[in-house]
Amino acid sequence: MKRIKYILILFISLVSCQDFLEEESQDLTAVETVEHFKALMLNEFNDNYAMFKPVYHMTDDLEEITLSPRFSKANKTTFTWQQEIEIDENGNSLRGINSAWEAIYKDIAIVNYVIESIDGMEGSAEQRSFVKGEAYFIRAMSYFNLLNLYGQPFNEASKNTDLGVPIRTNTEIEITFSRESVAAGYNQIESDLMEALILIENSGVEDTKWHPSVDACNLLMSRVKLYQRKWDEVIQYADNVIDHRQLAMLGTSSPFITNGNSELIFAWHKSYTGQIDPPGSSEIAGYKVSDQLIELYELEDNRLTAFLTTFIQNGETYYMNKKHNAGFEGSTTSSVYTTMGYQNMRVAEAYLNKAEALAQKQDPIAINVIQELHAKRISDVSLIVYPTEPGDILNYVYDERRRELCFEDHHRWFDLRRMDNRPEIVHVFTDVDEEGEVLKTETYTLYSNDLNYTLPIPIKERENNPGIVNNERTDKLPVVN
Amino acid sequence: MRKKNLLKAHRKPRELKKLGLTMRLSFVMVFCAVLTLSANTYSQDLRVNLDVKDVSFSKLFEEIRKQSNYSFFFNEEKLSQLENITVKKNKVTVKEVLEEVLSNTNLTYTMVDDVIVIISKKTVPRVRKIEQQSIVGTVTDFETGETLPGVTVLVKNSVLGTTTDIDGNYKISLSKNFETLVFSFLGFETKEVKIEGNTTINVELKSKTNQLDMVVVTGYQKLDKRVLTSSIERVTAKELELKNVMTVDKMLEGKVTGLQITNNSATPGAAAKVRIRGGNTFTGNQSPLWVIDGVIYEEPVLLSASEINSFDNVNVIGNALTGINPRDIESINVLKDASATAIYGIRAANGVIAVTTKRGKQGKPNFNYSYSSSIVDRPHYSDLNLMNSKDRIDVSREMYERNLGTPAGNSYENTDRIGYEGALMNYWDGTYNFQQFQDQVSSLESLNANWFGELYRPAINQSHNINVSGGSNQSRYYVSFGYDDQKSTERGVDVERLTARANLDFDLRDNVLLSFKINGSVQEGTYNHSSINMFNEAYYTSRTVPVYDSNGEYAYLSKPLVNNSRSVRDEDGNAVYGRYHVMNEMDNSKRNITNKDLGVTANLKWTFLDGFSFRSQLSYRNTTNLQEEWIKENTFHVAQLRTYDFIEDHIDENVDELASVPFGGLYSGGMVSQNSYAITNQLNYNKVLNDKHVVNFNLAQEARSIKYWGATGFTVPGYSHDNGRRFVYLPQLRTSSGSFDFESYPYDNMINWFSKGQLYPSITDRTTNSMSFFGMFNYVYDNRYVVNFNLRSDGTNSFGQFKKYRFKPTWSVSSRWNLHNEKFWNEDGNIDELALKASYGVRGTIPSASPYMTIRDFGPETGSSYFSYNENVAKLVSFPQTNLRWELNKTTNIGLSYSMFNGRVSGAFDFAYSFSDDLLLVRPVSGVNGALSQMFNAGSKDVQSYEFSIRTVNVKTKDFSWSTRFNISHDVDRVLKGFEEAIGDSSSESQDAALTISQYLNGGIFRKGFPSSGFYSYQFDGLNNKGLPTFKHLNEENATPEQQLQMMMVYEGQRLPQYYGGFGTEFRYKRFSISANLNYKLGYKTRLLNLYKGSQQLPLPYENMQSEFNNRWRQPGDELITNIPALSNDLLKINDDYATNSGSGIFPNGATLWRLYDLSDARTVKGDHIRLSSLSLSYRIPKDILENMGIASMNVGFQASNVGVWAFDSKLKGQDPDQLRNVGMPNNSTYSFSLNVGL
Repeated sequence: MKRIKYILILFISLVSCQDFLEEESQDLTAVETVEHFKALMLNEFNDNYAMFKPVYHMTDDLEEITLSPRFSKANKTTFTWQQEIEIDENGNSLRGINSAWEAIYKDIAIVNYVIESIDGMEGSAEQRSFVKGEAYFIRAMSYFNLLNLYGQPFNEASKNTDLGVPIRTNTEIEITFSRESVAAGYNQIESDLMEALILIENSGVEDTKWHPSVDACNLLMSRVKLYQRKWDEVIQYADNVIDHRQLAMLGTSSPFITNGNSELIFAWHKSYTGQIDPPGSSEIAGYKVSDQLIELYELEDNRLTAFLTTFIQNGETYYMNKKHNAGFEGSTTSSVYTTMGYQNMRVAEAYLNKAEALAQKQDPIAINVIQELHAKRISDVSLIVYPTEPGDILNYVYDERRRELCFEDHHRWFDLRRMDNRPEIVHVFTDVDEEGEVLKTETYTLYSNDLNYTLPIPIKERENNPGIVNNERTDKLPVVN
Repeated sequence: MRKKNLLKAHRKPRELKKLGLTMRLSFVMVFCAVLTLSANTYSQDLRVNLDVKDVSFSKLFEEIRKQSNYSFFFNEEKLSQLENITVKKNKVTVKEVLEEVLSNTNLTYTMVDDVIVIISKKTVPRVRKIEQQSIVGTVTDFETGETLPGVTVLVKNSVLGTTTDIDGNYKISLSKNFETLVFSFLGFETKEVKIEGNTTINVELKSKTNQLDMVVVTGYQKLDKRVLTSSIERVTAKELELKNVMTVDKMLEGKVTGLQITNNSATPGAAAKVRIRGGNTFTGNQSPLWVIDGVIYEEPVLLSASEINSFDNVNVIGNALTGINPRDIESINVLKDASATAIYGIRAANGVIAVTTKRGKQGKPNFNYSYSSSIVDRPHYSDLNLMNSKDRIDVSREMYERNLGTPAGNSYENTDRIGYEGALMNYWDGTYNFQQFQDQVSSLESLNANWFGELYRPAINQSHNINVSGGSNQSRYYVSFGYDDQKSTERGVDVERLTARANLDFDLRDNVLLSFKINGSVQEGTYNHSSINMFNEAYYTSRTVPVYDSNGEYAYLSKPLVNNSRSVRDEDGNAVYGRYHVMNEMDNSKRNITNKDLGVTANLKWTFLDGFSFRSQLSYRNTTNLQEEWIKENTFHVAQLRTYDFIEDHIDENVDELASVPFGGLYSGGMVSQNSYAITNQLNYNKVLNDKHVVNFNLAQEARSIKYWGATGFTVPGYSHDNGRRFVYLPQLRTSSGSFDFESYPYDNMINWFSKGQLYPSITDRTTNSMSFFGMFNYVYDNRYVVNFNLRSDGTNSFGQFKKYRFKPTWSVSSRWNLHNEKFWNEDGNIDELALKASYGVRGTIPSASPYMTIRDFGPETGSSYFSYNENVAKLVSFPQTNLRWELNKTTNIGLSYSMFNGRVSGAFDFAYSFSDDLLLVRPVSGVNGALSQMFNAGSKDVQSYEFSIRTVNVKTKDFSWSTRFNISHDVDRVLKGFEEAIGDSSSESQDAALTISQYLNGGIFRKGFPSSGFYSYQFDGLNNKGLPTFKHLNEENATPEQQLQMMMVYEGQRLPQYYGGFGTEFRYKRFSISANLNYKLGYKTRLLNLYKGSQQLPLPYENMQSEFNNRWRQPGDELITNIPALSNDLLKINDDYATNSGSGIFPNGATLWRLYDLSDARTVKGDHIRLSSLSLSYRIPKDILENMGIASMNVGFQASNVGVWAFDSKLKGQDPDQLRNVGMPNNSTYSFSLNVGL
C-alpha cells in the first residue's frame, strides 16, 4: 500500500519522475562501489587465472609415459608444437586449447573498465587508489602473458618491428584490432606497472596476499626488465624485494606455500578450473616429469620431494608435479604443497632474477646470490659444486630457475623463449593400442631458433578479426619408427 | 409527464411482468404525449359528473379519466392549440361529453376498449370509408432469430398501434391510406417498414448491442468502429464457444486473421503459443501483450524470452491469462498494426490483445447459470502407430536369430526375464523345456498389455458458472462466480479453478461515473512428479510387459541404479538393481502448482464543461505462484539417489560415496509473487462542430510498477511423507576428543551434493517501474474522412536501462476514408460499410542489455574450494553494452473493410508490411574486446501479411438461417540480415557468434533470405545392402565445415505455417442451431516422431517400437522397397569412419547415424492440415415448457471438439502434425454437454 501512496503522491505533485524511475534490481548489481570492483577482480582474475593451460607440454620439463595408450595423452598438438594447435591430425577441432587469448583479454576488458570508471565510485580514497593500482597490476601481468605467448620473443634489435599483441586500454568495442610491436607491448606493461606501484604505495593499503602489493609490483617489474635484458634495473627492482622479504626454509613435511610463509608475496589462481597441466594429483594423463629435470636436482635438494612426487603405473615409478597439490589452511600432510592458491610470486624469483642479471653482466657474485637461495633449499650446501666460468654460471642460473620455478605459471616456456642459446627439445610420442601394443613412435624436435616458440593466434580470432596477422610457424612432421 | 401502461388492461398480469420495464420505456420514447391511466373494468355507459371552468382539454380529460378509468391517448401539441373550455354537467356518459366538447374543434375521438384516442377530424371519415387492411407478422431478433414479444408496432403518422404477443406475433388493422409501420423495442434499433400492399410483414430488429459491436476497445480508448483507422479485429464472446478449455487463448485459434495460435499440449493449464503476424524480434519475447479491461496482465513467473518463444517448451506454470474466466469475457480486440499498438509504447511491438469483461446493464437482476461437462477421449494404441505384442516379439526373434544381442554399451541384464529374450534365457538355463518356452512366447504374443489404458483414462471435465447482472439507472452490476475442474487424460493430472468477478458501475452524478472491478481466482493443479514422463512411459513400454502380475500386483521391472551418471555397483562389482513400475512412482509422488490471482481496479470518469472528460484508473493486481513437488523413498527415482532399492540392504560405502539422498524422499518447492500497480490519467476533449467536424484529443499519463519476488527451486532430502509430512534431519557429526569427526560421517556425497548448491533456492527480486506519457488525436470530417495520430513515450527503471532512450517516443499516423458515406459510391445505400484504411507507425523495443558492467553474487565466496579469500567476490554478468540501440519496427497497414446488404456480407482485407531493423544479434568480434562475440543491432527482417475475412448470412427466414465465416492469413516472413556465419561451435567456451546445428535442425535460423522459423535436414540417401541408413555428403574430403554443411543439409521449409485461418458455419432452424468450426494451417513442415530413442537403435526387452518397423529392412534387396533401416547392433557413431569434419559442430554432439536418420529428410512431412475443431448442436427449450418452472430461458447443447484432422501428407499416417516430437501427447477428441439457464 505504501507503493500506491507513493505513486499517488508522485502523480499529484507532478514532481520529477527521477526517483520513481531510479534503477533498482535486487538480484543483479551494477558495479557501483570500489568494493564491487575489488570483489570482481578477485573472482575474475585471481580465481580463474587465464593461463595457457597446456604450456608445460611444450617444455622440456615433461615427457610422455611411453606405454600409456594414445587416448590418455591429451594435448598432442602442443606437445608436438604443431603449426595449428587447435586442429588435431584427424581434422577435429580441439575446443578451448588456445583460449588463453580470449580469457586474458577478458581480464583486460574488466580492468580497463575499472581504470576508466573507478574515480567516480563510492569508497575511501585509499581503497580507490589501491584497487586502481591492482587493476593496473593485473593489466600489466595480462599483457606480459599475452606478449610472451603470442608475441615474438624479445629482441633488442628488432623490438620496434617485431609483432607483439593488440593493445586495448579503453572500453570501446572494435570489430578489428591489429598487433602492436613488442616494444609497444613492453612499454605498456612498464607504464602500467609503474602506475600500479605508485598507486598501491600511495594508498598505504596492505591487503592480504591474495592482492598485489608493492613487493609484487617490484618483483614483476624485475621480471619484465629481465625479459628486456635491462640488467641494472633487474637488480634494482629485485633488491627492492630482497630488502623487504626473507626467504623461508623449504621443508618437506608440511605445505610450503602458506599464508605465514615470509617468502610468499602474492598468491592467485584459487579455483582449479579445468586442468592445469600436468595434473597435480591422482589423475594420470600419459605424461610425467622429464628425467632431464629430475636429474637437475641434487640428492640433498629438498625441492625434489617438496615440488615433485612419485606414482606407479604398470609397475613403473614416475615423477609428477606436486605444486598443484592443495589443502585447506591448516593442512599438515606432506602431500600438500600449497594452502594459498595454485600460482604465487615468491621472493626466490627475485634472487634468481638478480643472479641472472649479474651473470649476464659476468659478475661472479651471481653465485653468491644463488647460494643465499640454496641455504634455504638444500640440506647440505657444502656438497654442491658451483661453476666458476662466466658462461657456466649463466647456465647454472638458468638451471636453477628451472629447479626452483618448475610447473609454476608460464615460467619454463617463457624462459626458454628468451634464452640466447635455446636447447633443442625432442618429444617422442608413442602410439599404443588398447592392448598395450606399440604401433609406432613419432619423434618431434623443437629447434633452437624454432618459429614455433610463438603460439598461433587462435583460429576464432583470425576468423573474426581481419586485422590480425598470424604468427609464422612451421609444419612439424615427425620422424616415425 | 406521466407514464402508465396502456396495455395493462388487455394483457394478463403474469405476461406483463416479463415485458417489464422495457415496454414502458419504449412508449415513452416513441410518443411525446401524456398517457393516462386505464382500469381493469370499463363500461360504455359509465357516467360522469363534470364541473370545470376554463380548463385545457387535457385537464378535462384528466377529470374524466379520474372518474371513469378510461385512458386517453392524444397528441398534446394538437390539444394545446385548442382554447380552454368550461363544462358543467351531471351524470352524462363519456361519449356525450366528448361529442359535445369536440364538436367545435377539428378533432374527434375513437374508443378502443377502454382507451379513448383523440384524433384529427378530417381523417376520421376516411377511416370509416376507406378500405381496411389487416396486417400480421412476426418480429424477431436479427442476431438470434428469436421472436420478440412486446415490440411496439405503430402506424406512422397516426396514433394507431399495437404490440407483439409472447410469440412475437402482431396483428393490426388500419386503413389502406397508411403506408408505413414503425417497429420499436427497447435495446433494439427502431425500424420503419413500408406496407406496399403486403398483408404479412415479418420484421427483424437489430439489437442495439449491435451498436456495442460498433465499439472497439483498445484498453485506453473506446472507438467507434466506423471511424477506426487501424487494424483491430474484434471477437465477441459468442464466437468463443469452445466448452472444454479454461483459458481464452486456446479459443482464438482460427478466429482472427493474422493471429496464430499453437496449442502444443493437451495438458490442462498449459499455455498456448500466440503470435500476431509472425513477430518482430529474433531474440526478444515474441508473444503479444495481454490487456484485461485496460490493465496489462503480466506473467505470474518471470520466464526468459527463449522459454516463452520455444515451440518445444510446454509451460504448465501458468500464464497471464490463468485467472481469467472466459465466460466473463464480453469481447476481445486484437490490435495488430503499429497504429493500434502505438499507445502501448515499448511493450507492444508484437501486438496487443485487449480483453473486455462483461458489465451490468440497467434492468432487473438477470441471472444466468451455465454448466458444461465434457469427456475427453484418452489416447489409444490405434492412434499411435506402435507395435503390438506379436510384432514386438518378431523383432526380438530377429535380434536373437541374427545374434544382435542387447544394444552395445547397455549393461541391462534382464534379471526379470522379460519378453521373448527372458523366455529364451529360461529355456537356455533349463527353467523351461521347449514346450514351456513355446507356450510362454505365444502367451506373450497375445499379451498386448494396455499401457495407454492403464496410464490414461477418459477424462471428465466440468464447469459451473453463475452470473447476475442488472442495475438501476444510477448503478449497475455484474457479478460472476465460476468453478472449473479439468482432468487430464493422464492419470494424476487434475486442475481445479475458482474464479469470481464483480464489475460495478455507479453514476455518482449525471456526469460522474465510478466503476470498480474486482476479480480473484485460485487455480490448483496437480501434476505427476517431474521425473515421470507418462507419455514416454506408455509409448516406449513394450506390450509384452504386463502391467500387473498374476496376483494383480504391479509387475515391477528391475533396472540398474545410476546416480550422477555413475553406475552403482555392489562389493563384487555387480550392478545394483532397483524395482521400477511407473504406477508405483506415480502413487508415491506429486507435483502441485497453485496460482492465485487478485485484481482490483477503480475507474473514475468525470465529464465536464462542454466536451471534456477526465478518466482516472487505478489498478492493483497480485498473482502468487506456489509450487511443490515431492517423491517418497519407496520409488525408483529416490532409489537411484540413495544407491539401493527400498527393500534391499544398503552398502555403506556406496551410500557414502554416491548417495545424494541417503534416506527419506525428496521435496522441492518454491513460490513467486508478482505485484503490479498502475495509475492512468486521461484527459479527453471531444467536440462536434457544425455537425461535420468531430475532434477528439486525448492526453494521458501512466505510472506502472511491477515487482516479482520469490524463491524457487529449493530441494531438500530426507522427506518423510507418511509420518506427518516432515523431514528426517541429517545425523549430527560425532565428536572425538572435542573435535568433529568428519572421517566417519556416513553421507559424504550428500554433503558434496549440498555444497554444489542443489539445496538452495534462487531468489527473484525485481522491480520495474515505468512512467509514460501519451496522446491521441483524432479528427473526423463528415463521417467520411478520418485522421488519427498517436504518440507515446515511456521511461522505465529497468535495470541497466539506457538513459538516453528514456522517453524516446513511439508514434503512428493513420487515416480512413468511409466510401460508403460518399454519394457517388453508395447511391442506393446497399453498402453499409466500405472503408479504406491506411496506417504507418514506428515501434521500438529497448535492448534488455545494460550500459553498465553488471555483476552478480556479490558477497562471500560460495562453493567448494580448498582456499578461502575471506572477503567478498563477485561474478561478471556482462560488459557494458553502450553501443546498443532500440530494436526498431516500422509497420504499414492498408485495409479495406466492407459490409453490404444489411450486414449480410461483411469482412475485411488487410495488407501489412512490417519491417524490423536493428534487431539484436550476437556477432563475432575480435577477442581483444574481451569476448569473441558481441551484441549488435545487426539483424533485420520483414513480414508481409495478407489477410482476408468474410462473413455472410446466406439464408435468413423466420425459421431458418444459415451463416458462414471464413478467414485466411498469409505471412511471408523473411530474414533480411542475420548471422554472418553459417555455423558456429555450440560448445566452445565463449557464447558463439554464429548459428548452431540445433538451430538448423529445430528452426530459428536467422540467415538472409530464409524465414526465421526455417529448418534443415540431413539428406537420406537410402539404405545400403546391410539395411543401414546412408546420407549424402557425409564424407567430403577437404571441405571446410561450412562447405560441407552447405552440401550435406537440405532446406526443408518453415516450422510456422505460411497460410492459416478458419472456417465456420452455423445453421439455425427454429429452436435448433448447429455450428461447425474448422481451422487450417498450410505451407509448413514438421518432423515425424523419432524412430530411435536417444542414440539407441535396438530396443531393450521392455521397450516398444513404432509399427513402422514392421516394414523394416530384413534381407538384402529390401533396400529397394523400404526406407526403414534394419535392426542392427552397430552404434554408427559419427566419427572419422563416417564423416569428415565430425568434430566441428556440424553434427549434434555425440550423434549417431540413427539420430541423423530421425533428423533427415526421410522423416519430415508437410504439416498442412485442416482440423475440425468443433461441432456444436444446441436447442432452446420452448418457453411454454419453462414457464411453469419459472425459468425465462434454457439452452442445451452438445459439442464435439477436436473431432478430426485431415492431413495431406500420407507419410503422417494419422499422426497429428501439431503433435510435438518431444512432448508427444496428441490432442484428443472431446465431447461436451452444456446447459444454460436464465431467470
